[in-house]
Amino acid sequence: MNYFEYLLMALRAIRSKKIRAFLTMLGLIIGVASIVVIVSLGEGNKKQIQDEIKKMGNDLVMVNIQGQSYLPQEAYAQICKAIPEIKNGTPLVQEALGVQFTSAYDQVNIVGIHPNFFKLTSQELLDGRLLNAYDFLRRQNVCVIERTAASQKMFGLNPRVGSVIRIQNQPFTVVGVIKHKDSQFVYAQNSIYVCSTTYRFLKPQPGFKQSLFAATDINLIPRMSKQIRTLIINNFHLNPDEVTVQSLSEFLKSAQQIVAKVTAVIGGIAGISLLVGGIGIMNIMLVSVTERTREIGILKAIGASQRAILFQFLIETIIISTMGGLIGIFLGLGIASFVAKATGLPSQIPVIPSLIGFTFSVLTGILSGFYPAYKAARLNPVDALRAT
Amino acid sequence: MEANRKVIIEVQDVVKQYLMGLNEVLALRGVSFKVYQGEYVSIMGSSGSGKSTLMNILGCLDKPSTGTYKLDGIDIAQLTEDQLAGIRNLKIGFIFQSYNLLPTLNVLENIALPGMYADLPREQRFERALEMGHKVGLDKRMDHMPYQLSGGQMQRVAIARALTLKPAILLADEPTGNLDSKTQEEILDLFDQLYRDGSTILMVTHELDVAERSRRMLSFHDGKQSSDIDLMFFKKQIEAMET
Ligand SMILES: Nc1ncnc2c1ncn2[C@@H]1O[C@H](COP(=O)(O)OP(=O)(O)OP(=O)(O)O)[C@@H](O)[C@H]1O
Ligand SMILES: [Mg+2]
Repeated sequence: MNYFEYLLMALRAIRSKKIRAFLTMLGLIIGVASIVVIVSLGEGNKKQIQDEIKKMGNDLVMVNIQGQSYLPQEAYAQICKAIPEIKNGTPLVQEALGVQFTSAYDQVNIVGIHPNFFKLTSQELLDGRLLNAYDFLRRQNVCVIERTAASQKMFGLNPRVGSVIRIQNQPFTVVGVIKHKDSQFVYAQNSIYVCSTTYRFLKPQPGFKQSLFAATDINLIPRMSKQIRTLIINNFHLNPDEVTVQSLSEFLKSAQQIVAKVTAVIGGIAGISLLVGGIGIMNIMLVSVTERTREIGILKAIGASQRAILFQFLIETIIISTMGGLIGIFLGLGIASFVAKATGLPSQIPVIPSLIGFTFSVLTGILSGFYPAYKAARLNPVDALRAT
Repeated sequence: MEANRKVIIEVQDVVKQYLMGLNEVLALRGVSFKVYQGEYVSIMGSSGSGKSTLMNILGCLDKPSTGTYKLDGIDIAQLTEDQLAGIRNLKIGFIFQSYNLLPTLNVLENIALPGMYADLPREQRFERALEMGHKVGLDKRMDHMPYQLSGGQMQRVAIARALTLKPAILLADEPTGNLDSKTQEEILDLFDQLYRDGSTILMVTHELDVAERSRRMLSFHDGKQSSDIDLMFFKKQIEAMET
């Protein structure tokens, strides 16, 4: 058998029946494209969540006091002293307060911290300097401002290093500018950071509700969390319900569990659409080959062997299935990137799922094209010819 | 008939029965005859007399229920499926009433198709297909698709395809059944020419004036052969009477 001749013949048959070939491909195209779209959008989301988790930085322990209670001012120092596993930490207080710069006035989120905060949360300094231990101990009226981008203005003006702004009517000198970073610690963009020691004079409070701690060794974190929690509950007489002590890695774990669930759901949807696509492919292939039983009868009548007929149909279904699968992949990628652009969702080229979808559909196409051809090729020529 | 000529077809007690539910239909009830090389035989009979059934068996498209069929000395019953395909390919040229061209191939490719299954090299196949196309008068239509042709032209393509591998026998089941009388004449003229060139032809018809164009007429009635007439003999007598 001259295989090249069979290939030419198959191409000829496909070309002269373009619409039939296209209809046959359609099931494949839809099946593969839908998988590519679903998986690429799904994978994109998954990647976004993972990136977000990565951005959070070092593993820290967060303490949150819910309800009406506060930790007293001296609690922070006591906790640090009592638990040797703590490397350093920072209390965290924040609230929107009135801020004035030249003639402009607005409410801005003011964050009171220990200078450790910047290192713990990996803040990037754009200009000037960060707050330091001297500022903290001496309760200096200095602040660090935050920009999503250094050029972005605050209340339409541009306070920079050296500017003096008024917070709750008290003058503060801007000593540094840091880049804005999304985190779950600070509630608003364009926040202004001051030392927690200074913050007390801006907004008298019975204490603080939030704090962050870093461990001397990441492996100590689970133990350290427990110790902090016990200490807070016992020493400061808080209700256990009010105290949450959670490490970032725990948070990370639950986020990853969500991601795993999302992935499973996506996989399920993709699997179902693959199945539906596969049934579509089977259906159209069965119909198109059954239609061609008569053609197979003609081929047998002029002397084609079973092997020749099967080979001919095999080549034809391989070409059609592969073409359909490829068109499906490109169509799917096109739709996915269009949807991603239109909705702002991230998308990710899903190489392996696309390959699986492609292979599955192409194999389904080939098998369901091949099986009826196999049956027809085994018919008596008269019986095949009689088919209409 | 002529004892010195080669026997191409030898049919002995061929029976074909079909099962239709619980009913048995005897389409052929013991048919025996021989066809010699170079003969032009027509098979006559009313509808349902078993003509097509016989032709399908002769064309190796179907198998007899009992009885033997030898083609060119080969007992068909002994052959494997692959060998049968080879016989259909090389020894038999089958012409159907409904042409049975491949709709996806053009005239040239249709005529050249049997050569593909005979593993002929491409150039040789197409060279021969052109030659056959010329023989049936389709030189100008070689790149047409079947749907662009008239019935007569399609039947010419089918004849050219049947001839392309120079078969031992040409089998035609009502080849002019779908054609008007003028086109029928043209096709019969073509058969005449093939006969003169030495082809062995078996043609089914149920029209007497078509059968009269052959040289020997086998008549069938209800699955049995009812007569075997040498038309040459009659023609000579008629000619003798006329002159
Ligand atoms: N596949 C089949 N199954 C059952 N019966 C069949 C089958 N093929 C043919 N027959 C029966 O066999 C008998 C002979 O049929 P056949 O087709 O050989 O007749 P024919 O002489 O060719 O008729 P026509 O001139 O109409 O073509 C008929 O009674 C027909 O009904
Ligand atoms: Mg018939």
